[in-house]
Amino acid sequence: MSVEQMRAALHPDTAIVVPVYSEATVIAGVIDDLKQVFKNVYVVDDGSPDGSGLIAREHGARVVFHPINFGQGAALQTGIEAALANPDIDYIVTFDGDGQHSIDDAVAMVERLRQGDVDVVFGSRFLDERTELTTAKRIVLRTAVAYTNLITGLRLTDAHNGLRAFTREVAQFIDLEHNGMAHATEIVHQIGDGKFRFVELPVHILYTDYSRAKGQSLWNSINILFDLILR
Amino acid sequence: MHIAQFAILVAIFVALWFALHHRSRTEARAFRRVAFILLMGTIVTAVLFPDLLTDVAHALGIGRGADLVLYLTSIGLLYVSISVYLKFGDMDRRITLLARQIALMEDSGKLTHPDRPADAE
Repeated sequence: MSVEQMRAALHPDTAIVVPVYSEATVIAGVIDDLKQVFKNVYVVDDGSPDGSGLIAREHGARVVFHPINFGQGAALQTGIEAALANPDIDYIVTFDGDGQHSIDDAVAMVERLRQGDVDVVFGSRFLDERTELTTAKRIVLRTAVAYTNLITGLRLTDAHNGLRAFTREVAQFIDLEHNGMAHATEIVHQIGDGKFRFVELPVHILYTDYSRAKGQSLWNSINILFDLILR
Repeated sequence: MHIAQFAILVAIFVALWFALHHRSRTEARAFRRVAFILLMGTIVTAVLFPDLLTDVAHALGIGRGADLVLYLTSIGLLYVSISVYLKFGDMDRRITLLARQIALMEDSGKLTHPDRPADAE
């Protein structure tokens, strides 16, 4: 068995779900890195006009194409359903397509799930000091967590992190209806409803100029709040 | 608080309640149609008998007929905006489900996109 094959054999029971919208400049690198460690990488191209999905496919990801753009929540749900169609998958990791997440963190989360005492592992930026955040972003994220904890009854330190891992059972239970970014709160809500056992692991978010430019405006938090309340 | 102020505030909450709880149901459709006919009737009456509007306003304790119209229009607009917002949300969800089915069917090889080769896997 070559080194390549050994690597490809790793984590055959895990699907990495990567929602992608117009990440043509970075997606190849993200997929290449993921494929070093994970056999099953599911990319959902959320109607990108720049051919991100085709690039991801060339780099070995399994790609599902949304015919038109819907938003990250919709892309995640599609990716989860695509992964569930594969009976080998026991664990699902959601991973952002802009390269801000660390693959070591993803591996640690899956290893945590394998211990069998939790169903969900959330990534948190606030459990250690590695992630550098601007004050404004820190305040908004903290407020968002407080709100999420309030309405879901869960106790989390960071509810709006795109890096999380959960079991097949949780994936089957989750049904994201918010197409936009409100899915982050919705997912926590549903995990609370399902009475799943969860834990938070510290993760390192690498904010690059690219991810900052691509990332959400803090103003979007107002839209998210509105979406959550009025629907 | 004057009776008219109270009535208008109540009407705002009734409109909100209807918009939030009775959407895409038979009653909501009937409610909208009745409201529409009443509105048409009111407009026609108000145009034909402008003094009547002022009399009704005075009876309710509102200064002018124009103010009464303004309040009623605001309530109507509130109801319509919320209904439309929610309706668009519903449509969005339905379109998403449809598109997801298409995307997953293409993924499983049951459909082929005309401009995209099927996945080699």
